[in-house]
Amino acid sequence: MHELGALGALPTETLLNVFKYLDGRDLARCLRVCKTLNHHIDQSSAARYAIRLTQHGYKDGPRVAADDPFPSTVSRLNALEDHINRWTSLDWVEERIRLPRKVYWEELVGGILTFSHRKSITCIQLPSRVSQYPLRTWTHQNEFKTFSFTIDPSQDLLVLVEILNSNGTMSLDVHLRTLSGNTQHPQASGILSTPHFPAGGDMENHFHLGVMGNAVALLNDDEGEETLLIWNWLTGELICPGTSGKRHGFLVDRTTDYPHTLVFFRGTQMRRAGAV
Amino acid sequence: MIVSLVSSDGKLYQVDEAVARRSGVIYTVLEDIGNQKPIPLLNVPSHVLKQVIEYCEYHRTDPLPQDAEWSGPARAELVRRKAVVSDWDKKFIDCDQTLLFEIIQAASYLDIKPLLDLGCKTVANMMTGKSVEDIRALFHIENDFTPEEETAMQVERSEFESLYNIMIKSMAGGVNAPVTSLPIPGKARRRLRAPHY
Repeated sequence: MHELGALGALPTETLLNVFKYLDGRDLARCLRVCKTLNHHIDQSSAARYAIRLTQHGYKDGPRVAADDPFPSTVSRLNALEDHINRWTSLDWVEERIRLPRKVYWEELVGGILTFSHRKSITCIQLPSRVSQYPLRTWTHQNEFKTFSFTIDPSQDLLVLVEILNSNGTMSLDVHLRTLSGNTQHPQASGILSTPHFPAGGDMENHFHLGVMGNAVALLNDDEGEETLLIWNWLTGELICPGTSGKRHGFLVDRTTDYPHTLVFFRGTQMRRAGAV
Repeated sequence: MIVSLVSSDGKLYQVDEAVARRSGVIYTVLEDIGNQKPIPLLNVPSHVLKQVIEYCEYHRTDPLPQDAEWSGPARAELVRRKAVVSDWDKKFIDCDQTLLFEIIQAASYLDIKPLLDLGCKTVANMMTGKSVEDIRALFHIENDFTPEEETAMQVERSEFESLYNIMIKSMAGGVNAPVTSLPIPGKARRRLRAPHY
């Protein structure tokens, strides 16, 4: 009997063809079947790459046609190994970046650090060895003072909140812009406007803004009276028109496996809303 | 036009040229030499050739496939799609393991990519979700690892499994323990012991 049993009937390149239909967990199990199979998997960088991605909870990034820093599976595997080794040995690459001024409020999503100062928004794309991003800084000037903002680089989305005061009442305008150019986002329906809030209160400390997929969520806590608004920013439709109550909170899950999850808290209860 | 094919055990098969051209090898022979003489297929016995011809007859009008990518999103897509096999193909490939492997060998030798992919998908489906012991039993593979090698692989595996489970549990909100008390896999723990700032 061949050491690979019945699989020995298949030429090596056919065996590699079988591997490409197996995911990382199945391939990891095949490693322990016998030495020959272990050897064949070890020789295939595509199989090893799939195993390493699964073991460390990563997903492969998209392949870009032109100037892809990692065009081959071997180069991707090497970059991943280097990345994993640095995490396990806590071997950081230190890079000092000077901020233009004291930051007022900031966001860090998808490697882009963004902060606002009065009417300006400054974005810093942090350099990445794995993604081969260079350090890049750009600033947007707006016609209004930024009250609050958030970003979603995966959708090139910049969400800006402007306060509108009139006769003792106050409302908010939510502007949907492109993160790269600060122009109106091509997929956005338009500016999202909130109903009127009573003016005053300590809004800055009781205001939350989140973006997730096609949802923009806003939570305002005014002296214990809370307002939670959720829009579909593509259509402008108000999905959750102002829940009133106490002790809400929400978190936006930015991990790639749960792209459409918003988590709501109410007291000690947690509610997970899928696919908003 | 009719092409004559001869199996390794000397049986003659007459097929339409369009059917025969599904094979890259026969395609090249027809381009180079033409269809005047029977084409001998030295590596394909008649019981396998019969199956291959049946497959090519059924798929004679299919467009020829493009090369699939090895990894990247295309790979993930392949893994997801491996279960997607048409009913006719499923019934066709549902045979004993020996014949399955003979068909794959013939598809590889004759360069019939869709049939080769169907065979490889079928083998991959047989292996999916199976334990190590199940895979050994399925293909009559002997375990040739020494007990020491097995232990080493087991340790490496449990380190990843524990890390993976912690990730899953903490994502589900199931871990109430403070982060500092979570077990750290051995390799990282050893390195953590001597921090150098």
